[in-house]
Amino acid sequence: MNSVIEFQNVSKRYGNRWALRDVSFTLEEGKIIGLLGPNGSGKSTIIKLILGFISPTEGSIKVFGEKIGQAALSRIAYTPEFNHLYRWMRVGDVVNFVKSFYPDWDDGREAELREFLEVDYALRVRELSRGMAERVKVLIAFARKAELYLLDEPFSGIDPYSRRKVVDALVKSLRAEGETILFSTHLVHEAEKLFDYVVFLRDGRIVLEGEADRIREDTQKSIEDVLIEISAGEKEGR
Amino acid sequence: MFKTLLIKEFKGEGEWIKWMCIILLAIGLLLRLKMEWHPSLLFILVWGALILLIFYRAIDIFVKEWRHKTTHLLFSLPVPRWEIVLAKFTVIVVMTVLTIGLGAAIEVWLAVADKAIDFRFNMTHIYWMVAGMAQIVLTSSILIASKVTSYTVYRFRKLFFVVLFILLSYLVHRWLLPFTSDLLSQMGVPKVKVLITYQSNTGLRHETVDFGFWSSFISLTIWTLAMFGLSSISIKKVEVE
Amino acid sequence: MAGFEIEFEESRPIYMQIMDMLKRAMARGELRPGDKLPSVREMAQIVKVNPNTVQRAYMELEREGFIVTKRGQGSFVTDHTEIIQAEKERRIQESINRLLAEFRELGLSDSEIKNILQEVIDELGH
Repeated sequence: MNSVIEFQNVSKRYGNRWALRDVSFTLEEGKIIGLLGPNGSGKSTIIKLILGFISPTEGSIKVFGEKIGQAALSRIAYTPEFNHLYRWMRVGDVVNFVKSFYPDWDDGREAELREFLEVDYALRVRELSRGMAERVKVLIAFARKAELYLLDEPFSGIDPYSRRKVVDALVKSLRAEGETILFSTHLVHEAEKLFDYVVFLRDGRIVLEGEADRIREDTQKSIEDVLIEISAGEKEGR
Repeated sequence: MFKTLLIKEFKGEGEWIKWMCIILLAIGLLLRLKMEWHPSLLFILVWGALILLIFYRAIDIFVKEWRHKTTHLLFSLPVPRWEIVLAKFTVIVVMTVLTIGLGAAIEVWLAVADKAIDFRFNMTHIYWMVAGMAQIVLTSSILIASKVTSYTVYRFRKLFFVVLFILLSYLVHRWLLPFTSDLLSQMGVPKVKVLITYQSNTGLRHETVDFGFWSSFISLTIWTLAMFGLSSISIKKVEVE
Repeated sequence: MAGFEIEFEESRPIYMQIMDMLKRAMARGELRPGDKLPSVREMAQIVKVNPNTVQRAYMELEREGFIVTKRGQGSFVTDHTEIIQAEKERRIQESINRLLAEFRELGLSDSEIKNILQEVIDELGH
């Protein structure tokens, strides 16, 4: 198995605050990985480090075996936890804009997702509800045949119907062709069945990682319950 | 895909460009209909305001990406970051040229139409307008370039550098101006001169004005390129939050 | 592809639950020897899990002899009916043991259990 992402003793400091502290992990190709932890535990920091949006204070990061750059970005599909689309564009403009940058865009998948997610291309981004904006974000990510998908909190802050649609679209989009999906969430219940591998974070450190089924077997608990326990531990620790 | 980036930047500034043109044309038309208001402070004010507006757009074209967090889309695209800067610079330069060009065209149009009333008087007007404005506009274009850079510098949270950059760009421009002017005359490049005739207290006067057009143009180009280089380097180091 | 319905218990490994679902379908005769199983990808879509998890379940089932995978054709229920028969018997045994344990916890003696079961079967029969 090739490693897609490799973190070696990575730390990230903002001012006096350590957002990430001595984090090391290797993520393998073809896996669906859950990056789990309470808010502010360092999930988004890890994703931004992978994309090269921020640089580590210490340690080294490799994506597809190299330092992040333009070549690696062309193989990554990323959606942040907020609406990052241009407000003045129509949904159709957003789709065409993104499409023109990626040769791995698949029109068939786009059409399928458009129908399934009930996305209206004529609407302006500023008119979209949060749930609909999330669906558009999922569409532009999964209409591509990317090698690595990075989804930051794809389920948070949206209505239950949209959430269901997003989860189902994710399941439908799994190609099992060696693509790797890393998504961060604190709402584990929705995605419980999807993870191959989970990484639990707390206060910028990895507290537990492993195969999801292995953790279930060892703890006799669901991933959600394990996360709740870890989050509770954080409160006690303070 | 630089083309897509460029189209996106133009469309993103589309509303501003549209209204800038509409306002300039409206004021031109208004003054054409009401010749007695011309030469008008109104025109200078509107034009000046539009130049200030370009200043604002030059900064905001960068800032808005951070404000709306669209940086997360823009910087995740597989394009070199200097292309992103180049697309934005291009739009700002086009906006500047458009405002100056349109403003000058309207002014000439009004002057020609004014001939019937008092041509000499209007020649004076054109002189002050064009000579004064040209200097302001050329300097301000350089400031725009430096402001664009200073914004990316500002991302490093050092206000000091912003002030330093603006000051530095102005000083370099002033310093370059006579130097390039000399160089150009040595090379035999003809100066752009305008013969102005106007009415003064002592009677009719003739004056030749050298706009320093070429030297301004060259120093502007060099400085813009330098700013572009600096912006491209600083945007590479910018953190996307 | 109907019949593959599954309520996951999230505290148990998902791949084991998929294996269990398929074994149950075989024991009940819903999946017959030689039947073709949905592809890994199809199955993942039906039960809404990760294809890798289905892959693992199929691999384990193959190792235990319940299914055979033919290259380029897919996975099929084994023709060795004795394996399925054994699974059926194991399930029956498991149910009986569970029932007996519960009755004994309620304080019933073996003869009482026998009588109760006989009565219920007679009633249902008529």
